[in-house]
Parts: sequence; C-alpha cells; structure tokens
Amino acid sequence: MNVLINKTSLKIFEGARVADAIRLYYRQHKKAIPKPLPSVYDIHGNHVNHDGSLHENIHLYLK
Amino acid sequence: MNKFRFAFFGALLSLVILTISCGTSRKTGYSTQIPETKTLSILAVNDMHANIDQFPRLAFIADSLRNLYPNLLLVSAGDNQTGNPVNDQFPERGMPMIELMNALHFNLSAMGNHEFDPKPNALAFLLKNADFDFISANIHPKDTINFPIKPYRLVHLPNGLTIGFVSVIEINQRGIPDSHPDNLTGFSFSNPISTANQYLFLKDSCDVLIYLTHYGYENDVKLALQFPQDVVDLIIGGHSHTKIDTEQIHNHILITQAESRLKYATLIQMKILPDGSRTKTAQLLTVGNKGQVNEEIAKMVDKFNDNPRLNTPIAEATDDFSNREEIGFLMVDAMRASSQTEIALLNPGGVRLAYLPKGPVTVKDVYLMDPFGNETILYRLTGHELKSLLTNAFRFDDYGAIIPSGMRTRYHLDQKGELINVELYTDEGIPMELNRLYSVAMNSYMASVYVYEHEDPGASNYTTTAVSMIEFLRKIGKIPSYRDQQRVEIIK
Repeated sequence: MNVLINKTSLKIFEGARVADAIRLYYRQHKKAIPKPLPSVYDIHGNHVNHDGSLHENIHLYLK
Repeated sequence: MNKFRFAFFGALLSLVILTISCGTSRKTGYSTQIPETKTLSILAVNDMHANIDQFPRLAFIADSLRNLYPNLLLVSAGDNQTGNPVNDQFPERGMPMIELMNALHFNLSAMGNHEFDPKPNALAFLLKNADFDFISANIHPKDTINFPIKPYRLVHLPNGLTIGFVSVIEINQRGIPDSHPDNLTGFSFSNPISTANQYLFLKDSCDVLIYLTHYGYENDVKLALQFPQDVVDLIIGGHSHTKIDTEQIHNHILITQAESRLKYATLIQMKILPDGSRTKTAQLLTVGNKGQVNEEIAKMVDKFNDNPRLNTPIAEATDDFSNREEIGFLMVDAMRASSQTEIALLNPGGVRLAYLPKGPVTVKDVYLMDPFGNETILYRLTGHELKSLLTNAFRFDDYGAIIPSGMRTRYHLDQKGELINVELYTDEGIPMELNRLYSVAMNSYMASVYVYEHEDPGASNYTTTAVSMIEFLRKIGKIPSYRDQQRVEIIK
C-alpha cells in the first residue's frame, strides 16, 4: 500500500495504521522517532488518531 | 420543566467543544412536501473498539439528549468490537459490547471490519443477540439467516419523518475488508461506491437519506462528491478515526466522524421545513469518562470488568522463565505457530515481562508480556532480505539481536563492537539459502521501523500478537521449558 506523509511517498504493509506510517516516515528520513508521535492531519485539516486505518494513496500531514 | 431544561442546557454546553453550524438551507428535488417543520436528532459514534469504560458516560449523554429530543436516534458507524480484553476474551466474544449497546438502545450499526474479528460463528451469535440492526450494502453473506446484514434500513419516526440509512464498508486491495481472511469465509464483497449508488432510489421512500459508512473520511468525501446533488443529506462515517470538529460539507452533504474509542460523539440535528428545505448542524460532544454517568450502565460495566476469566489459567508453564529472552522465545514461537510461517521474528523491546514463574499462565500474563496491540505482519522474504533486516535491526535496537523462531543467527562484531556480518542458520544448524524465499511473520512495530531492502510490502493478518499467543497457549496447554535455549550467538 502506498501512502503519503507530508510530501514523502511510503510503501507500507497492507493493514498498516497511521502510527505505522509515521514511524516509517521518520525512519526513511533517518530521523529519530519522536515520543509521543506527532499529531496527524488529513488533507482537509482534520485531526486523525494514530490508531486510524489507512487506505491506498491516503495523504496525511504531520505538524 | 423549563427549569429542568435550563439546567440541562447548562450541562450540555459544558459537553460541547465545538459547534459546526452548517446553516445550509436548500430545496431538495426529491423531498416530499411536509406541512410543518420537523426535526431529526442523531447521536452518532464510531470505532468504539470495545471501550466499555466510556459507556456509563455515553449513556448519561444519550439519556439527557432523549429528554430534550424524544425521537433521538443512536447509531454507530461500525468497529464496535476489538481493542479491550474484557470484551475480546469474554466467553461469548464481543457480548459485553452487544449487551451494552442493547442497554443504551442503539437503533442501528454499520458493519465495520472489526465486527468480523470474533469469527463467523461468534459473529452470528452477536447478530442474533443484538436488539438493533447491522447494515452494510456491499457485504453479501451466503447465509442470510445467520447473518441478517441488511443493505439499508428505513426508520419511521413518531413525528412522521422517514429516515433512510444505507451503509458501505471499505474494501482493501485484496477485495475484502481489513480482517483475517478466515473470518470472512461465507461473505463476498462489492465495490463500495458503485454499491452505494445503487441505493439512491431510497430517496423516493424517505425524507432524509443518510449513509452510515465504515469507509474512512477521505473515501466519504469521494463518495459525497460523486453523488447527484441534493439526494443524500448526511454521511456519518468511521474507520479512519478522524476527529471532525470543523464544518465539513462536500457537495451539500454534511460529513461527520467522531475519532475513536468514545472520546467523542457527534450530535447531528436537521430541520426539515414545510417547503422541503433543510438545515443541518453537527456538534462534537466530549464523552470521555469524567462527569455524570448512568449508574445502571456503570454497574453493568463493573460486572464485565470483574471478569474472572482474565485470571483463569489458559496454560501451565512447566518451568520458570527467568529472563526476557526465554519469554521472547515463547512469544515468537507462538507467533510462528499461529501464523503458520517458516520463520517468526520478535524485536527485543517487544518483550515487556522479565519473569514468568512456573505454574499457571493467564490471559492477563499474556497482556503483561505483550501489551502493545501490535498485529502480525506476513511477508515472503529472501534469505538476503532477511539478512538485511537483521543487520538493520541490530543497529536500530542498540545492538540487541532479534529473537528468532524457525532459524538461528550468529552475529560477528569487530573489536569496537561494530557489526561485521550476520549468519543465518536453520534450526538444524545448516546455513540458510540466501536466494530462497521464506514465509516470515513479525509484529507491526518491526514492520514499520526496520528499513531494509525487500520486495514484498507485507500484509497484516489483522490479529494482534497477544490474541494469537492466547490462542496458541490454550491449544498447547503445557508450556515446555525454554531454559538454556540458545538461538542467537554474538561473537566478538
């Protein structure tokens, strides 16, 4: 499954949740994974919980 | 009465964290003429994930709103199940949620992907015992007697309004909802959008047409944008755990979702004016677990929480487990057995219990060992890819080696302790074939933090590693000794 975090395209396992994608995003950028994980928003500016489900080509933003 | 209402409004205001005043007023092309202004009030929740501890609070809010709006409808956009061992390990799995939803007089629920988690027989039992209907238009059970999931439901209110509810569920790239394929035996699924469009005819039979979806917020927007104008009034959604606290109207359709686990609920109100035009508002209410509660529901929840089954032995350890590595071997063996893969891998930080005494092992012990709620992810990896994974993981985990099942590893370090090479062996001590594909299981945390070369992106089996372990321990009964087992060798 492909997802977009900020402007980074990530290939992640099917069934991944928002938290999985955030962790992969930081790891792909060779950055430490922050604790707690940052807040996430969808393209409409809504807050999305870390345990939310993802779907193909979903675009999320970190703040 | 006025005094009561004034007092209640004060209390209600404290619940409201934001009001979305959509203020849309329009004429519909389909609506029947209604001689007087009529109102529709809905309290909507989604993705409760068996968070039963919030139910006394939700009940208080629902009771209070029913005093104000006697025709209030209480609906769920699905994923009522999974996420709390009190519910998930109940003898009749999932029944605490069904009994509580019955007690709160839910009118309707969408089918979410986690409704399938209890497995088909248990799902049939839950559907039979629910006093409310489950709907989904793109789920097609072969056995419609035991799985009476209807595509839609028309609700007739005492004020004369007829409300149509249609539901669709998200389908992943494999053409099924996100649940273990074994749980979906006997069901087929159709495309959510084309199926949703097949039920627009219901507008001719109702005053308000609502899609109660488990489709994810972005998909709900796509759904709304492709509907013909002024046919669908609302989409009440779930699945993506999106907190909608700002106005979200797309193609004149108000879309709501209230995050997850009953942190919030959405109060939706519509007024249908005599000329058929309508106004819609949505308020996100804080549920949480603080504030006034319904005492009867609180007693029910206390009874469920006082579940002796969680402390009942599910297996017996024939020896002490005196360190995390030994417990890790047990956990990773359970993962391999339940996922039926050749190899399973566990990160050293994934073991949270350092000692497990000889004797009975309970469900609670399993959740102490593995409290994270990670799911099992399945891969087909070559020996080279496995080697790349183990190398990356060793560095990421501050030189803690991955705990394997179905294979052995040997790490070679230089004088400074830097990793030079990892060798992979079968359980029999034979070097593994690096060009061969192996079926591999690991937890979802590992699947997201280890960056290494691999072709197969992997797929969840939608079962938590803790639940798999509980099932494994129940099956084996006696847990063998892991004392002095050595699967990982580190050579300096």
